[in-house]
Amino acid sequence: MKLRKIFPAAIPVIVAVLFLAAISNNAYYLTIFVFCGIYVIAVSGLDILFGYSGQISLGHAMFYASGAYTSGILTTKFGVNPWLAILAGLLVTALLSFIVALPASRLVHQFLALLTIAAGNMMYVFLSKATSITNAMAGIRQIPDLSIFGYELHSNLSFAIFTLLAVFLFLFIKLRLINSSTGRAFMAIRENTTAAGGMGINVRKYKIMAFIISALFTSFAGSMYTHFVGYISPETFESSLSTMLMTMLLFGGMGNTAGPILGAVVIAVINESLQSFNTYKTLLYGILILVAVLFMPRGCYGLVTDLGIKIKTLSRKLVKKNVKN
Amino acid sequence: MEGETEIALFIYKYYKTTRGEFKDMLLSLTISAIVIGSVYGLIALGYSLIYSASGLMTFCQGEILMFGAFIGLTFFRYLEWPFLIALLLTMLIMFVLGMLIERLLIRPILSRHATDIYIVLATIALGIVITNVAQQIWGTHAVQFPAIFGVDTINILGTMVQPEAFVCIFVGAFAMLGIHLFMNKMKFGTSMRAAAMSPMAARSVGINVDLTTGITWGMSCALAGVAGILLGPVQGVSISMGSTIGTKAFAAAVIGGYGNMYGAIIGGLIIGFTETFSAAYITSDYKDFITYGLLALCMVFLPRGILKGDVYDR
Amino acid sequence: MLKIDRATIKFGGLTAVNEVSFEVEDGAIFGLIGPNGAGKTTLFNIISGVYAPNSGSVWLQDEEITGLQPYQICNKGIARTYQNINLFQTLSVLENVKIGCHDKIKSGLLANILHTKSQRTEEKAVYEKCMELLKFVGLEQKAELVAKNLSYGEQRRLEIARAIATEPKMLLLDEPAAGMNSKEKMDLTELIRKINKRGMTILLVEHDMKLVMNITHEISVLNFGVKIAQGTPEEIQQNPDVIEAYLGGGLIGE
Repeated sequence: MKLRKIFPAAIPVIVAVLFLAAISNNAYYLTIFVFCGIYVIAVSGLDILFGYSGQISLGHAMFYASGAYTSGILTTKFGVNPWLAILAGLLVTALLSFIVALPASRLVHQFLALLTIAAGNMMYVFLSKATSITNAMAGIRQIPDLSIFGYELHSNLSFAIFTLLAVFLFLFIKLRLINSSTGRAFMAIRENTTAAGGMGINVRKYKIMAFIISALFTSFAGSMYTHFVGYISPETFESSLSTMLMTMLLFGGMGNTAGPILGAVVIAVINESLQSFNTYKTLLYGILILVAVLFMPRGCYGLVTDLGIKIKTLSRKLVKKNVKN
Repeated sequence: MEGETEIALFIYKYYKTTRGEFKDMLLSLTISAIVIGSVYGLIALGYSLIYSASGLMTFCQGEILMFGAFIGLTFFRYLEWPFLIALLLTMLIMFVLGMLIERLLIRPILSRHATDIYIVLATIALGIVITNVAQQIWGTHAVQFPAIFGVDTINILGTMVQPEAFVCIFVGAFAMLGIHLFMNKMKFGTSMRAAAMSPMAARSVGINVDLTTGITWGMSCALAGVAGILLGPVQGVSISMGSTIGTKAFAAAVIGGYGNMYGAIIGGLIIGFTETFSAAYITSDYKDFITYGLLALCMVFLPRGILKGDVYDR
Repeated sequence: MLKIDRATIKFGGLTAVNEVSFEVEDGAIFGLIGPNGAGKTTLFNIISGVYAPNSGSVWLQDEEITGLQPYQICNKGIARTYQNINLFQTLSVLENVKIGCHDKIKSGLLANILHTKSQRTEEKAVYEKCMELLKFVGLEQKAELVAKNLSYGEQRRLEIARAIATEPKMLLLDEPAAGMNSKEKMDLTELIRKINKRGMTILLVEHDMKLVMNITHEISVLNFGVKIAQGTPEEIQQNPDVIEAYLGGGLIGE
């Protein structure tokens, strides 16, 4: 019984490890691998918010930024240990997301979208203008590497292994969360706010909680980005980043574990291959969102599961026919 | 909105160095604020129109504005047609575009999910696509929209003002009044509101709900197109001109009271004044920060806006 | 158990509930009837915290609960069902009931993520409790189905199971028999009696007079937001004001 439970989860783990081993001596592929991992964490966080608790955010770049910049500033200007800086980033993000969620938890969809866009833009203005804190458009350079027990994660391979572990950790947390009373409260709010309140769930409290947890995922991803790239500047955290995260979520399919992974990986890879056509990148997001919204509301994941069900029923029918004959 | 504020600041500096008269700076800033406020108000009107006619929201008005500005520019500058014809033709094209958006994008989504969040996402995506299309056609460079009138500037109490500024103000006020009368006094306007309140009931009394919704989208796109053309001579036309304007006009609609026509213009003016004056007196770096902050504060403390409007869940 | 004291609520110019007072005894099945638009559901919404009354008060076991949020009222011990079914549509039947247990679950966020031993035992207990409740309402076979795929009658029973899961002292049922056939209505009558025997006081809004007269101990009648009568089912059936109200409203007790 227990083995059967573990087995489905073990397959993606084995596949990911094997894949990592296969590309381990190609620095370029490893870089893309790391980026995919970072986005998987960020998009999974967004999924907790939008996919599970039904609250939209089009300003998640601000939490990615708060993690990234707290890490960057603390390590370069104050010489803080990178791990402590990541922790501090999580704390700063928790506070920031709480401040945003306080009014946001009372808004309906469209206004929530507007508020998060506005908050994201405010963060961007702050990053690009507050010279004394964020170094404005010049950005922050020479951010130190992460290290584990004195071993610096300097090479792409070591960082990729770390990324893989981080992804597993965060997906694990997400799964635990979703399959518990907290996750059920989130879903109850998504499904029917009135009934959720009527069943004794403090709707505002859980909406705020979902917001903060989601922001923490994204913040960690932002900190990872900082330490991997070693340099941050405001352009990375423009509103198009929020749009990209949302595109990944919609395209992959929300409200499950596999969807955000699928979306993040596919779009990150497409992004990378379109690097020389940078102007078409945003167009791609636009078209993919339209396609997802119009033709596959449950994303790629939904498409795959639907296909699976169709094949199953079809094969059952065929078997029945054969039996009859 | 860089251009607009810069004009105001330029006038400010000019006066400070030559005359040192404080009053004139106030005047020029005020005019500048009213002009940009009217433009915000015009777009906010479009948001309110769609909302009061279908209960939906669009997030691509800014991009539509940019597109309209480029179409107007094409007719007026490149084809050298008379201004009025260029304006009317642009309005017509934008109207058709709006109806197409409703028919090809909004309606299919509504018939499938019936949740408004998908409309938000779809219109954002559409905005991105429009921007890219415009970039392919007209390029990334900012283009000067030629002056509409022969005169360069008009002298008001010693301050030089572009004549186009007055057109902005005039058109803004006119559109607000016209749409308000249209929605409340004319039969078609009433049926639009009925369609928003209860599509089923409206259908049962013989209102063509699909048509009214389509026309509303058309009208709001036409309004955005007009706003684009008006803004052209004041600050130039570029593919990035719409992105912040759209969000700020949305903020204007919320602050004024979502769905209220007068509220849209009032909200537009509030944003216009906040932006212009904070840029001149406090800091131009944090102009947008202050504007969005105002929106956030409004959502917390004045959720229904200055004149009614529904923002909250319950 | 429950006391409503001169509750009044106005919407615009309309007084939907006007100075209504009544008291529900411990362990009773109390009926609330009246023609359409009499203010029954509005009164339910006042009790369950959806609306705050303009004046008047609501008391649960000598504790004032007027104007509390719905979730607070639920946690004080009043659960309800909805006239126009409000299930968590895309979640499974079992999950719907589990959500009803929410407030009774002690494990917090951290315990949930860490999957502590106490959390696991608690989850197991919740599972067993929910299965027991599903069996109680006759839905144990459908535990894994998605809620929206249930039949109408089943959905109503699921709402009841979900409400009981909150372990209420008082259960408000808003037209539980609406849309049911006579067989389902008979089962429902049985179910309501069974729930009452479990120790829950019941406040029932229902249009089916046969059902109401059959199971309630006491009845209050509303008309145009005003209470016009109260008494045992027999008294109500003979009350001239009630007969007048129903005739005037164009609805005669079946």
